[in-house]
Amino acid sequence: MRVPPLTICEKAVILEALRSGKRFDFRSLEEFRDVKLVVGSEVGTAICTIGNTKVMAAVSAQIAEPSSMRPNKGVINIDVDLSPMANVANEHDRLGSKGMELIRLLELIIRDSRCIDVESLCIRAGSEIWKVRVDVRILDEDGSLLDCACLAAITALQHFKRPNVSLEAHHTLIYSEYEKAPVPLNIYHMPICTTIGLLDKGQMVVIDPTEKEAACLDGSIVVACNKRREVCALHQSTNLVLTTKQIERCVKLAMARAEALTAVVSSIIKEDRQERSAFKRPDGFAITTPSLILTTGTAASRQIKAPVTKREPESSQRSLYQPSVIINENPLSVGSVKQEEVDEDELLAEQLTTIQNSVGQVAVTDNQNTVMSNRKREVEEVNNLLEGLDDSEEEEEIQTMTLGPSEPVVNTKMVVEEEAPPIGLVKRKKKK
Amino acid sequence: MAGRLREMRCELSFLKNADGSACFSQGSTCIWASCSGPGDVHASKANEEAMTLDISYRANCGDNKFSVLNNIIQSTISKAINLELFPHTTIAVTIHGIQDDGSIGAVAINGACFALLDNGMPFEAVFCGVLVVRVKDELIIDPTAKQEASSTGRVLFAVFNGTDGHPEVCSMDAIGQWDFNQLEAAWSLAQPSATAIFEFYRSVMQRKHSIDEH
Amino acid sequence: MFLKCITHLYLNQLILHYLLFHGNNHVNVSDMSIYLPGDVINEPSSSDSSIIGYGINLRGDKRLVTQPGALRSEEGKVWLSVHSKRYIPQEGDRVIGIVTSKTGDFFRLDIGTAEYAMINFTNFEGATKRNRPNLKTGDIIYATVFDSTPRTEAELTCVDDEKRARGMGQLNGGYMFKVSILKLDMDCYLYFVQVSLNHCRRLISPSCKILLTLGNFFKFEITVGMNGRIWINASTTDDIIKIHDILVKSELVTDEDELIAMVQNNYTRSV
Repeated sequence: MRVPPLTICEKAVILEALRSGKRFDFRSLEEFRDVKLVVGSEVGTAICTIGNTKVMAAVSAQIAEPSSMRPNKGVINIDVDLSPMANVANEHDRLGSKGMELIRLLELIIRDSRCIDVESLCIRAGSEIWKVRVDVRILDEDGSLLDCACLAAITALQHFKRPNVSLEAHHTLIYSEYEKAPVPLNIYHMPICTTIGLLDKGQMVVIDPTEKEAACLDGSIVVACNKRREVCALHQSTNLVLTTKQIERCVKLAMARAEALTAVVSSIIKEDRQERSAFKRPDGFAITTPSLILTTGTAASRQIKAPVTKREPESSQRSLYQPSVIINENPLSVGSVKQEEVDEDELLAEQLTTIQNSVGQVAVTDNQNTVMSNRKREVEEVNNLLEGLDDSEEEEEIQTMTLGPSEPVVNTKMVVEEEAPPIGLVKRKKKK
Repeated sequence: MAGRLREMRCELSFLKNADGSACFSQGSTCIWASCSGPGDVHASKANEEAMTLDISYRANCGDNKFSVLNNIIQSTISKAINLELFPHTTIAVTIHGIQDDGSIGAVAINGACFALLDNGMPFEAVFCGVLVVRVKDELIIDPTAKQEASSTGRVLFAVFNGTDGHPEVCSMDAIGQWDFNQLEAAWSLAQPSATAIFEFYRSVMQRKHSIDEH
Repeated sequence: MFLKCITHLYLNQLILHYLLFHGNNHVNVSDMSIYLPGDVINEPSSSDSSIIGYGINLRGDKRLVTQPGALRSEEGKVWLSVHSKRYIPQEGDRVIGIVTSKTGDFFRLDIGTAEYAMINFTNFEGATKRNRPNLKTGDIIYATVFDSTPRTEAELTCVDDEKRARGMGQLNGGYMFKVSILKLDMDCYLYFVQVSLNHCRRLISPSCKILLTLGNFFKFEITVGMNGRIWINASTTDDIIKIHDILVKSELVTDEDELIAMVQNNYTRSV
């Protein structure tokens, strides 16, 4: 579906406000929106919210074969899902350029920055490694999509625990969570992403722009760094020319943010670990919003009582074998069965029944032994016809007839032919 | 026969970009559903006579090109909405599974109905989903993940609220061996559950509309 | 039953607005009956109404509900107040449209519906073949829907039958935003206010005090389109930001005192 275009008046007001240092959500130009992080009750799931942007990440692991170039390194795959829930312009199962950019950037930040120890994911060099899959689901878009996705992915990776394995001589033993505690991933550092919008050819920075603001700005730059003051990624999708000083300024802002957010993520993971070590299964994403909000509702768990249905004693007799019988011609398939075909089928069925009735002496079992090939049958037929011309009263040997409706019934016995001439006539018409 | 429906919680209109959105949970199973439309559709997918439905259930892990639940949700919604009222338009219903603790199919159908209600577009009747499983000859409604894993048969009912107030079955999705007696028993268990869920819909919408009371 | 509400703003919650209830514990609003799609309306108060309005369909003898909402009846009209965000074009509605392109004699506008809307350049006040209205892509106009057959582009007009504008036409400067649509009132009041569908109709209904309260504090100009778009104009950008904030947040406020308190907070708040 299409999104309404940006109007001239909106752009003018937003730019004027930004140039005088004001924003529509009462933030300053260098202020970030509040971040909310929740981890789920299944290991490796997290939902991150920055303002109105909401992203969920889920991590799972599988055993797979490594690539021949890196036989002792695990693999991390990242997948992003953009659905119409996030933005009506998106389509189901279709990534578009925005989605591809997001995947590439997340791979850059998480995989290429080597924040996860992939060698610890190796089980047996050359044959078995852990393949970790990070699924990022974008639930609502309102600017700073990459920041939110990166944070959710990092939290989910920190939260995730893979099953414990032990190597035996000829096989690998995978333990369930009840036998041996699962093992967390070995993560070296946490790259945190910051989107910084730029105005007036880079002279003005607008931190963490919302979608409307981002549409009015000249461009934006994305900086990913960690709390050790290392820059993990630097990316710009527009074509602004920036001076070193401008970039340094953005990086400085991003560093401060990375420190603050790393502390938040660590505290959330720590709280969750404490809860789980006390053997409490946490609520996770179950709704804990207060019942005071007008658009919410709660219904307590309740007993359902239903009347007992009559249970007839099950009949123990098994029905005898029944050949397939056509109950109904399918009247609903429009245009799939042509009218002539229907008549032919009916005709064949009629013919079958009359033949079955008239040719009483042909035992059913005979058919099995004496099925002749088509060619042979034709030759026989011709012979019979020729012979029949000479003396039609002679008894002929009983030819078998295949009674399948798909093939035309071969009517070679002259006696039968005489007994049921209309069938024969019809037969000949059909053969033409 | 008796059963237990888990605690239901719901929140509406919390997504900024979707026309109608619902976060619905039964016990620990939670989904987010959104419904946007009727909106414009690309000419390649447009249907001149009726509305096109774009419905997808997406689990939180794995590739989401196809899900088993898409079929039953699509058939339920296409019966619920009079598609010929909105030719050459489309409606996009997306359901994300957030947390799965059993009975995710039923929760998804309920969430979809809430999203449709929140959207406010015209449709014929409300619907809900009820999952009944059979564990060792005993029928359980709204099972948890543990109960579902140990079940020998599962049947998911998509239920409509008929015009006389009685629940009517729209479609069923059964896994495992069921004979007619057991199906009848499962349906008789599902009916009061469906009625309870419809009551919940009413109470949530009542609360949402209470803003109009001046 | 009397509802007393206080608004608080918690920016770090997952949902932006919520209300706290005081006093009455149960939420039942007794005078209002809520209907869900599929219900049949049997209330005696509505049986003498001759005009069946929004959200109700007449099927044979029965009045079948097709949209969820609260029943309203007034002077022979009965309808449901429905909350929604997406606009479905109705003839006679005043809407705000964004100009997307110009083709021949028509401007093509986006009014938030599935199809685009069109307006002929002659349907403006004072427009002649020589004197065409000067609209560019991205401009907004306030117009009336006068032809809305399904599956075709809705046609709009900026003049009424007597070729007078009556407040319609291009909206200059100011700021536009979108809110949800509430089909609260059957009559559309003909002054300019833009609000979400719900919120829209509520704002322009006479029983709503929001605009009057706002007027005590700010000097502003406002236009409401039935398609959920609001256009406001004030003397400074500061004021525009504050008014925008109040209008968006007032969607869930019903009590007058709280409203005044909120406006006051906003007015004295520094941006």
